[in-house]
Amino acid sequence: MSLRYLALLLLGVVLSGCGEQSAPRKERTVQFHIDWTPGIDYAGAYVAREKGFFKEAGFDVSIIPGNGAEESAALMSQDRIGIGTTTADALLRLAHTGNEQLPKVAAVVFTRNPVVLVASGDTKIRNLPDLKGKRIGFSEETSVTFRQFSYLLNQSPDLKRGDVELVKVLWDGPRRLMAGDVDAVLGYATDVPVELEANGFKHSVIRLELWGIKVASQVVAVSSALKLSREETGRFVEAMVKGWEYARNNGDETVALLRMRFPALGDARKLKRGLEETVKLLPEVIPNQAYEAYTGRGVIERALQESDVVVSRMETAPKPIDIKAMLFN
Amino acid sequence: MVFAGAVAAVLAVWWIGSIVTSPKLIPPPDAVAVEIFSNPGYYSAAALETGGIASIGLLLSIMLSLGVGLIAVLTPRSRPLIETLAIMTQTMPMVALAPILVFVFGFGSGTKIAISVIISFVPLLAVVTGRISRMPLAAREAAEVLGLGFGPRIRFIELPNVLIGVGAGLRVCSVLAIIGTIIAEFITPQSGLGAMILIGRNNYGVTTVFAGLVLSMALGLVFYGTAAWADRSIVAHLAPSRVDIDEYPENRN
Repeated sequence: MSLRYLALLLLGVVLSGCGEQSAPRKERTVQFHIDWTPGIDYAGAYVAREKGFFKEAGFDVSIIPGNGAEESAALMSQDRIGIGTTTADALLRLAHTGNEQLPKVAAVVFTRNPVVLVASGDTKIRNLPDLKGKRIGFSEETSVTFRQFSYLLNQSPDLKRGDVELVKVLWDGPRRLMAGDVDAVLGYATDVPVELEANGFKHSVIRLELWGIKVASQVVAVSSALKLSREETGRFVEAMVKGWEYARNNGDETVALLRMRFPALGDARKLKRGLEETVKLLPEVIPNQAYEAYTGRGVIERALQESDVVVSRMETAPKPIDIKAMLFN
Repeated sequence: MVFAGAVAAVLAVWWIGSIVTSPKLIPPPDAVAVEIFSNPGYYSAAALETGGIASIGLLLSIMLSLGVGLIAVLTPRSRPLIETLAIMTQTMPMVALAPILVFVFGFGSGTKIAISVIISFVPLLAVVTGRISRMPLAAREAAEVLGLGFGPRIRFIELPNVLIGVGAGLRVCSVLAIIGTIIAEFITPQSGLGAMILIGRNNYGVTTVFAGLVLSMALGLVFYGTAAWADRSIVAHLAPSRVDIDEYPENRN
């Protein structure tokens, strides 16, 4: 009897020990730098934070907005950002300048190029030669959208630079298109067409990837400034992937979460449409293998290689790069 | 009455502008009011954040201007150097300076306060150094005749002379502190009115952008009003006519 009591006591001690081991880890504080202002393009990170996925993985995360993919990539290469988003083409451009302290890519979030040319309903643009004599609105000369479009114009045998009138419309593209100031505007599939749709404006969308600009867009990159172990970094990225998959499958809740946090994001219907377009850019996922779809070594390598076919041609004097050295995993 | 008239005039021009152009370009005042009052917590938090940072920036600007002004009093030869350096800070584009400030102060409030100070302190400094250079000769001679030591000279002669004109600089400085903070919030768009305007702009939210403009104007009026009050009550109180030399009996002849 006393032996049985002793055995039960021992079992209790062992179990309480197990309990201690599975007690919540001490949270690590992480600053996650997105490369632009908060919006639907970063829904995964915000969902991961608001739904507690980062917390479950042991992280207390602040999401810090940025000033563009190029700047984020540069800040990572200077070790001033530990982990954050940028674009594959911004990173590759940095690599082609001979920068030796490149951040490593830990995940590909947008596997497709989101850059689009949006034309007003009565403008016939199907192929590059159709751009002759057209007024095309763009935001900034340094923007990814402008760089990609300039490359298309430069390499097209049917077009000369003067054939197309480039009009700087800053962030007023949709309105300028609706006002008839331009025939088409450059933008992201997740914003300009959605805005025009919300205003009931008839338009057509041409994805630049159909004209050969096949580049992966948003990636999560890590610099040596990140004070997390490889295992911790993996766990962090996994929580973010979980956030993206949650956003993919729970559109209404994601939109509500974002709007609650940032009312400045505006109309819920518009955001929902933006999310639908955003989800199309995410990797295709086999059930229970989401993490691999975003972070697999082969996935990232293929995305960078495919993007580099375009980026290396965009650069005037590209230095040779080693894509394998840019992989985190 | 004048204030209410000015606000009414602005609202009228705004309304007409909205009708003449398009509500998609200039949303009418009522739409902006609805936007603000439908999310009062969000908008007030953004305004308070910007106001808080601008207050700290303004306070530091005042301290910096008076401190640097004191150096100019002590070492008159340093004045041209001080002025040159101050002007250089004003002509440096913030976009170019921002990465250095972010490197030094990080992505948080430090960078915002620094930019607010850089943008706002020069007008006040210009007033301070200007007043010092235009100190009436009679006042300096009086200080010598009275045999005032360093402390009393600063207290009775230099400081009141500076404070007479400081009010105008303070008013300009107070408004610039807000502009500086909002510029900083464009550069590090984490919180505050600048970040809110940027998020609105990037999502084609014209009404949000206008809500940000209205709130920044309101903040500007509050800051300007406070500076004007400070000018009238504090600065005027310290003007030379009120200075009582009896507080320093050791300086009596």
